[in-house]
Amino acid sequence: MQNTTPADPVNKTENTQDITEKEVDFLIDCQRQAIRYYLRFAIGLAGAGAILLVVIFSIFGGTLTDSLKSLVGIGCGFISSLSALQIKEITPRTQSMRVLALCKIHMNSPDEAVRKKYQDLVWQSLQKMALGN
Amino acid sequence: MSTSSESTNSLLEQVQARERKARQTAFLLTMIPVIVAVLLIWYTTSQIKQMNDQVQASKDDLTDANTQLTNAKVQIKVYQDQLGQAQNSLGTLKSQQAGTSKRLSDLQNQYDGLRQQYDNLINSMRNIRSFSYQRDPLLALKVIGSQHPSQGEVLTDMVVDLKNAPWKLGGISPQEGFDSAGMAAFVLQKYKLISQPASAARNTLPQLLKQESQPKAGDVVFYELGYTMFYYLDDKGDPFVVGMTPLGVLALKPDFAKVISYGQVDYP
Repeated sequence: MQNTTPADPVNKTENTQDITEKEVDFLIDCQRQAIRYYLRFAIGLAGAGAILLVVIFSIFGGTLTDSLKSLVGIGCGFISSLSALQIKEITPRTQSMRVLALCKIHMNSPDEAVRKKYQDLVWQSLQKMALGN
Repeated sequence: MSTSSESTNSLLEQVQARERKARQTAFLLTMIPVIVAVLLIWYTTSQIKQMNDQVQASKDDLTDANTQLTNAKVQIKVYQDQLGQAQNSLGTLKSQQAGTSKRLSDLQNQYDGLRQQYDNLINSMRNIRSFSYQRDPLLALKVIGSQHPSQGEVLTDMVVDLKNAPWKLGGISPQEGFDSAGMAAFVLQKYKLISQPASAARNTLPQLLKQESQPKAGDVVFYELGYTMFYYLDDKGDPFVVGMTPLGVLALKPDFAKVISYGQVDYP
């Protein structure tokens, strides 16, 4: 299966560079920071929607009609729903971080071929993250 | 190796910069709809709150207007009731006025008739020329006194003693004056021909005296206009009546006015 797929990063050997564990750690840390950021952002958006709902109800609650309360609830729900976009960013980064962690483990393999293969994989991931290709 | 390391570091920096830019882009792209949504919610809520306030103010105004309308309806009802009562009162007053006007008209007609009769009576009394006793009253007194002493005494009293008494409606004494019925009651009471005092008898003589169809000398004749005269016969047997009139004590023909009845006087 791997030999029949041209885009398989494991089988690509062109333009390879030596990647150290420190650099892999940097990439993992970078992904972790991104995950942390998006997670906080998602929580902040959800909280902002809830806080906005509470603030509006506390200020105008006595004068709002049922239809207007529904409108405000929908608006605040929309704000909170934007946190889903941040969650969407977290998922691929988690996957990428797991892959990098796995590669980091196999980069210390005594088998040169295996080590080279994972270094190529990390290199391609680095290129993809840096250039967006 | 050095070149490879620099290339790797460059890529790592690019990765870091790309991540930073991605975060900024995500932040901006997320915050734009958030801000727009917040502003829209806030603006819409404020607008609706203002509209609610206006609606509440309009409701208050409407409530006030309804209250005023209710009060106005109550006042209109009261005014309508008062108007109905006033119309009823006006109808009653109009009816009373019509009745009063009719009665006034009747009274005016009666007054005119009485005035005409009075004028006619006065004229007829003024035109009396043929009665013999005005020319010679002593002869009449002598004739009557000789035939009917008591009746003559009464006649003498009227035409001699009371001839200067003034005319006064309701009068019953020589000092204040007489009307016709007052003089008749006074004379009858003076000669004790009736038992009641003159003040009471002047209005009840027709009931006090016995009614008769044909008078005799000295009887009382009751006329339509309230005249009360004494009936006598002269020496030739012609009747005449004597009594108080507005012109003084006169002797007149018995038919100078319409006779109602005759009252019998019991002379001693």
